[in-house]
Amino acid sequence: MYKTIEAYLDALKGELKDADTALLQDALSDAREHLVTALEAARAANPAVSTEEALPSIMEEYGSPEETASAYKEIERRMSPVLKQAVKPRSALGRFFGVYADPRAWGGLLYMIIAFVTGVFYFTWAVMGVSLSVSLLIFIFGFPIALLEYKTTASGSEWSKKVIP
Amino acid sequence: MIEPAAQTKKFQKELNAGTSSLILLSVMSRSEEPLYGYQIAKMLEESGPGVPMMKQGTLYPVLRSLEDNGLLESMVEPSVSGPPRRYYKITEEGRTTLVEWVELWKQTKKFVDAILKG
Repeated sequence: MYKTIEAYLDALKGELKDADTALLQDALSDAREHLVTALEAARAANPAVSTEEALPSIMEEYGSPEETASAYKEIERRMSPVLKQAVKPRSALGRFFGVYADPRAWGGLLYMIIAFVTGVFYFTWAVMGVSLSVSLLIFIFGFPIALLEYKTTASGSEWSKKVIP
Repeated sequence: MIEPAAQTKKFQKELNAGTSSLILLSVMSRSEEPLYGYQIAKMLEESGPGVPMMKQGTLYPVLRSLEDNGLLESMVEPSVSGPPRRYYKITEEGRTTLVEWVELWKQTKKFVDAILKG
């Protein structure tokens, strides 16, 4: 049996050493919250009881580190088979050059190239349209140009919103 | 070859895996206030002494998975003494899902009972 809460948490950490960091943090914070609260409750019920006396039954009810770890792993396994696949352990060299084999990296690059071209076009259109319509507003035909500028910019941004969800 | 006792334990674990979500969601639906893990464990202990082998530590990952699925929501609040506590509360989606789950459970129970009776 574990003498302190910290010892239990260390054992739990050991059981989950291969698991995802977020999962480990969840498991540790849940266990800490529960054990501390249960210990407080036990002390409130019987102030004479010492930590060493109260802890064994609390830990017995909570479950051994092995049981607790397996419960978290079980949930993780059922929840996200896709996510798990993404974090395969790789060598240092593999991690460095792995980006070349990642289709998402190429997709991202293509997206940035397209965004560059459309960005330049939008910028030119907006600057030209705004300056032209503002300077021509002193004439009557400045108004339709300003309206055209507003409409095209608005529909352009609407279109981008649809294309990039 | 697995020992008969271990077989039973394994079966109990599999049963718990299926029912714990339903149990927790039902407990949460009955509470007006947000609850933290220890309170939920105590409520389960009080409502049924015959919850065998369902360790309190196994409730927490189930609570987290229910939250990931949008059936519960949680917030972390500092406690007067000790580490902060995570309070859980049922969502609207959780309530509608529970109605469906209860119906499914009734059907399953009826079916299993009918089969066992022979």
